[in-house]
Amino acid sequence: MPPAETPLRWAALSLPRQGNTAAEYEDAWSADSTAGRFAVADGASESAFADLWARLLAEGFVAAERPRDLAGWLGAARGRWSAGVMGLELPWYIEAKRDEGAFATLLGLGVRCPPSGWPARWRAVAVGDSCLMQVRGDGRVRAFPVGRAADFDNQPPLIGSRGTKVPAARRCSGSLLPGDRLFLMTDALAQWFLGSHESGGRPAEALAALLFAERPQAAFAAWIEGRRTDGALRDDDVTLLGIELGSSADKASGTGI
Amino acid sequence: MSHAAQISRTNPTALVFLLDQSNSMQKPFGGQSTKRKADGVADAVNRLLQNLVLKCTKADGVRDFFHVAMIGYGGDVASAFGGRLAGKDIVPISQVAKNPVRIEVRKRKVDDGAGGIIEDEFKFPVWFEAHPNGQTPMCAALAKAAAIVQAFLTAQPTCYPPLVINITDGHPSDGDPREAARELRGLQSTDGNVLLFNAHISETEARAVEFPDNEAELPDNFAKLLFRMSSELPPKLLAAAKGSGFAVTPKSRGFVFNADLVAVIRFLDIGTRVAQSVR
Repeated sequence: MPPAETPLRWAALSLPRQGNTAAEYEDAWSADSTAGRFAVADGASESAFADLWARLLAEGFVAAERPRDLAGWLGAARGRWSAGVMGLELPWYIEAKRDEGAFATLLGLGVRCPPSGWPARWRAVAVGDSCLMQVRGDGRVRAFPVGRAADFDNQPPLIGSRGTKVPAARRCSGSLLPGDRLFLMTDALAQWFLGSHESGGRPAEALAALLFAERPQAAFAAWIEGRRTDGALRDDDVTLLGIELGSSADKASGTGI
Repeated sequence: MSHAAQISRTNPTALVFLLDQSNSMQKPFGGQSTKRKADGVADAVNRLLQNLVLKCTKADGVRDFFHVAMIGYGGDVASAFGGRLAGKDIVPISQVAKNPVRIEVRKRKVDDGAGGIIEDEFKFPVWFEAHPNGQTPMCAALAKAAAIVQAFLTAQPTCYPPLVINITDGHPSDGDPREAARELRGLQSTDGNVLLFNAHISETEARAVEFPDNEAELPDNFAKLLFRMSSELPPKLLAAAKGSGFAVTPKSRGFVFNADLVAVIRFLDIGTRVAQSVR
């Protein structure tokens, strides 16, 4: 848990792909700021019941005893997915699709501040292309697990909801200084973020302004639609979770939207 | 880059299947004594449709990323849909999902997860049954496809370019089909030209050929004719084919010999794909 002198505030925003309803949104996010745990997950378009699976993965990470040890908690998440969808009476095509299982990416983050202050530490685990961006006050960016906008494709590593396979996960860790920002985001926004950064932009400023705007969801929806219209952002479900580590104690802690 | 539009419900594309139903399709398929070429075509198109339906299936139903036409050519050139879809030229994929002619229960051997093999039942929907008769009016079939595609393009001018898949033994009876093929490939959306892919079903036991980049290794003149009629794979399909292990080059064409085109359905981009390796 971050100490009182390093307050942490966070917010999350999401939007379905163009033309889809909120019920058709297949990303997920989860947060427990007291435990310093955050996660986003992205259900694969080409699988069914992927929204449920993405939610179970994000929540599973945040609630797990040892979240970076996927083998330790994936079985329970898979059990919950099966309990939710097996045994349903379905038309042949949904039944066949369900039997293939659902698939999703996962990015999990743990933030830990030692009792004696800075630097704080973060540790992350990822399967697939949902990304973490660490942004320093001077604009420097560290991206994990995808480092360049050109490196995204439509076939990322995924975690399946059936069977016992534990996919290879990538792990990363780093230190945090006052004023650092952490952003967790699903792939379309991450690709935009890295493209903007690579061409000299300051994408973190734009995202932070949206996360902590007066009416964040409306501001986010308008901004995303604008980027989709001008072709800068691929049309996909979008999820953004931002964390700011302040250096003064007057900021609110854990202001989830 | 052409052929890069995202396929979505608001910007769907069309798939047109042309199915050779001529008398010559009664002959054995690929050197097998028990299976006719016509049955090979039926299997191929039923598997293609099943894959297409499942690609678009979500927990709440089937999303209309595709509109599907199925044209048989033999004694006549007409819609090959049966049951409630009989006579329809083109229908949304959700209607295809709901209206197979029948659903067979078949068996397959699968890994039981503990080192053994068990027999598993699965449902196999059938939309198309072979009834070969008459000649092979391939030019007329290509013209019919062009009319369907042209009407679709008028309604969906920004779509991913429609894909026409012709499954045949390649013996046209109404002239040289290359001109009709050229006209079909000349139609375009704002995202590029219509794609024409050909699957050649042969009597010979010659080995399967998939997405060749030249005709030198093709076994006969019919295969060469179909190769020449086929579109080159656009860059995104080429990348997907390469990613799936096919030995393709930038000149590879949408043509297979004694093989199916199910992989092409997997390559079409409707969002995050689930790689075979993660299943």
